[in-house]
Amino acid sequence: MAASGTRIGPGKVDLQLPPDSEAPARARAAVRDILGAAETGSSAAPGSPSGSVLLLVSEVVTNAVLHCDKGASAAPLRLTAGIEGEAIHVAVTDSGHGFPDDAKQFAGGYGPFLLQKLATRWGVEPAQAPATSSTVWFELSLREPPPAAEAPTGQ
Amino acid sequence: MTSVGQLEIRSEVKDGKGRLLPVGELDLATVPILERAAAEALGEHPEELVIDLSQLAFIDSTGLRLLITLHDESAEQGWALRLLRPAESPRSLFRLTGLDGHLPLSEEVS
Repeated sequence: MAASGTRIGPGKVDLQLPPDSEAPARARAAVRDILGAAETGSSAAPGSPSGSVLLLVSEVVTNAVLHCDKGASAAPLRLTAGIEGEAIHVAVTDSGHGFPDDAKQFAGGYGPFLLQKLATRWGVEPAQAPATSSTVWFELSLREPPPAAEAPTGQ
Repeated sequence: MTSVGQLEIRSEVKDGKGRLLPVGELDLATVPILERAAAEALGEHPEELVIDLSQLAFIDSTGLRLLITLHDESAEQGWALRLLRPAESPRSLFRLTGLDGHLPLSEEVS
């Protein structure tokens, strides 16, 4: 199943992604495209703001895939990303029951840790009845290298 | 079926040393590929398994967890793991998570 959706303008992505194991790579590819357009310099070097964005996109989409409803009728995930000024805003909405209400439970691993470390701001919008879909979003400045990336960690 | 974020692995076991060279991106879709290659190499009971990370263009925490698992297994099972010359993405993730001081990283080729 292919991803569907359209780039809705320069610097913006609005994609429906099947919640399968290829979703993280598809999401990274879509966001890489708008980062490439927004940045001078060829690739999104990891450790750079772009590298941090791609890592967080992968973490959030992976979490959505692992925790959403499975099966043939699995509804797609929705990925939106947009660059405004010097920051990128990314949001991933699952098809229902994907993200726990408590952000601390989210991914139960490195995902929230990395969001905390790299994102300028992030959050979870839990499902509000009658809707069952919830959203994880983050913002990251593309201008400054994230200070945490350079700081010594836990040594 | 289009495929994105692919991973290819070159693998050899010689003189008691297993060597894996993953080329591409290590994430939810491709972790099983490296997992399988590691299991196959370890099936020949090498004393050491070297995973050359110099061609790994991307890794996220899904990939990181596999490396941590292999590290734990090496300690339990008495073989040596060496993670060789990590490219920028794995190097950055090891640093961010503070695992650069715990995983057996190496710059030595031989």
